Amino acid sequence: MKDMATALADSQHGKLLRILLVEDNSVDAHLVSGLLRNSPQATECIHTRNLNEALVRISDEEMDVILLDLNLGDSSGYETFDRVRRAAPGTAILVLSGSDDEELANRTVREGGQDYLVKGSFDGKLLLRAIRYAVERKMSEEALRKSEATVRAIFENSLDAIVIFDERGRFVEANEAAAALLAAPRSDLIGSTIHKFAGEGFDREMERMRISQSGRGQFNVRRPDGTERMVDYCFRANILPGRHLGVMRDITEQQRLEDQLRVSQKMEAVGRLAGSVAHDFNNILGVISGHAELLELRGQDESVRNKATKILTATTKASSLTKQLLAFGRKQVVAPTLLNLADVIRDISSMITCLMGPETQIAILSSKAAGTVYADQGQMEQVLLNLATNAHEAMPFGGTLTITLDKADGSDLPEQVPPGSYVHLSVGDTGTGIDPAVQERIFDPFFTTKKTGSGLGLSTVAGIVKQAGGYVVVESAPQKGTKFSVYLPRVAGAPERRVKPAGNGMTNVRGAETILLVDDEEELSNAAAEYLQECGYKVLKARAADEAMEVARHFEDRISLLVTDIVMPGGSGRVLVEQMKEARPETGVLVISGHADDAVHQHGFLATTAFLQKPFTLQSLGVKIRSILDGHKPA
Amino acid sequence: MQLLSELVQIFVAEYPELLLQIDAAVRDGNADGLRKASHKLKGSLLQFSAPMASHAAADLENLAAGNFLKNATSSVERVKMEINSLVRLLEAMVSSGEARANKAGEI
Repeated sequence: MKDMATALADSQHGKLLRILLVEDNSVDAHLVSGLLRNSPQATECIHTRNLNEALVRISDEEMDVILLDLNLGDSSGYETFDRVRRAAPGTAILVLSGSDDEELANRTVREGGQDYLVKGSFDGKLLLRAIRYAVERKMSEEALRKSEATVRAIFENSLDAIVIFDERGRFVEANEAAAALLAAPRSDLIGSTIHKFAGEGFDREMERMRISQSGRGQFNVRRPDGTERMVDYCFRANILPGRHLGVMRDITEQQRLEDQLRVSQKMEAVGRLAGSVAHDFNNILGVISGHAELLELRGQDESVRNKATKILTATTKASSLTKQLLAFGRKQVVAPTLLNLADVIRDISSMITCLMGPETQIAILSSKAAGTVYADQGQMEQVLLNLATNAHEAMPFGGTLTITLDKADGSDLPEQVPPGSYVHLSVGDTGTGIDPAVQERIFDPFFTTKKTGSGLGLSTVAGIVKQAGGYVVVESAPQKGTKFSVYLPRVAGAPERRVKPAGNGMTNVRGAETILLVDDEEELSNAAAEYLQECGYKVLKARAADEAMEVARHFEDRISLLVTDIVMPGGSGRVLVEQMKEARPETGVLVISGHADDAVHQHGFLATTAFLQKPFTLQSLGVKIRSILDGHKPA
Repeated sequence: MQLLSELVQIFVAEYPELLLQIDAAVRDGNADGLRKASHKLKGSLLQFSAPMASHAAADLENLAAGNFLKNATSSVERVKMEINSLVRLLEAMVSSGEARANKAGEI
């Protein structure tokens, strides 16, 4: 259909106005045509004598106005009007009737007719004016109808809750999104008051809005089931007299994710700080332990040697703490080895005891016979710590923490674990238990039920265990407790031996080769150099990569081994290693580092290079160096 | 005057047929036919602003709508009489109008 605004504009500019005259009386038809023909308005009058003919013309052509006689040969009365109206809903209809029937006139006008003119009661001027008004009114009605249809469609399809309420806060309108947000059917909402759904902050915000008359903010709505949703809302008072608009967006989930992101960013920052502190602390520990070792080796006085041993014991404990910090900061080198988890449990049990506090009993049933797994020791410690921490938090009034280690296969295995031979580590508590509805989500990253939780503890456990080829199974009963079972594949072979100090004997670490030692930590470097010189080596020292290459360039003899840190000012150890391999392919390499930086991980650097993690004892350095020089594989 | 002349011509050509339809409807007791024909006649008469004739046609239409055909004969006669008067009047109006127009044209 032609747009009504265009029709009016056309008529106003004297353009052609298309009129369909539906009239079976020749006299009447001729009179109307004649009146229009003689008017100043340019019109095209198309005459049809019955309804069916009119309906065909309406479907084929655009008309601006229909002048309609109601009593035709094939239709009469209101039915004529109704059928034409349905066929041309956007066209102005002006009824021309021989009956001065007020009831019929009212009905047609009420149902969309623009006017009702009684034959014999109008002249050309009046008819033209009636036609013009009819076009204008229809245009306005159509514009309003389209606007209403658009607004209604937006209202009904909006993802935001839209409500209109009166002075008393009673809902006059509410869309589907509002019904979903407030968890109540629309039919229940209409007539009930917005105050019924007031949650935290609602009254305060309403008062603010009452004063300001418009604006936006946040409050909580309380649903009939008692749950609350946080909403971002926009308010405008008196969009119509006594009618107020409220638009609400559910931001509960968004808020939760933002909170989690903030927590995880904080955790990340804390982790970075912890890793950084641990790295620097490791270097200091290295200096202390290095010199203590030298004292222990060289000390003439028994009492001095004993004190040196005590210093070494203290540095070993301190070193285990930095290891935890590195694990927390995820800066530790992930190096799977053959491990017996019984050793891991034993090593970390003192820390777990400290975590639990006096109100919690700790039972450890661990057997070395459980077997060996191939995993990273630091990560296994983290798994134990995270599970123990969770258990502790599930027992706010104390209880019993039980850690067990045994082997499992065949019928011992729960259905979630595929058949195989496993080492089974379990951490159980006698705490509050986990709600069955929550159990499905506990391993999801950032999922937490604690106010201060990061939601990373169990997801980290799940990630580590999965990486090690294992499975985590949880069993829980409300108010009875929870047991996490970790199943890791058993592997054949014995756990790798830790490098033990070789006592005072230096024969197993002695050598006469030339070693280039590169570390920006001068004190650490000095202690190591002194020790290696004691062992018989010739030691060249440098504090940076470029300095090391300079030293190598000016040294004419063979350099058997490059011992270098990774992160140093003036060029990374990794670049130094590459340059050295090119310049002196015969030179072996040993990398020492306090933490595995990204470059190490990303390039698989350690897979082909011998590595010793700081802090280390000088003797372990000696053993490692001797092992590389004797042609053993990098470890 | 041109339009009036055309309307009178059309009316004069068509009304005898409408009167025949009215007579037949009264004779056959066809109330609906009588209502439609008298309504159509009334419409034309209204356009000529002929109150006596259009009232007579309206009365006939009302009788038909109420199915009072027994009383219709006298009403039909009244309609015919009013139309005869009207047609004579209209033709006289048209003739005098044309004469004035011709005279004006001669001047």
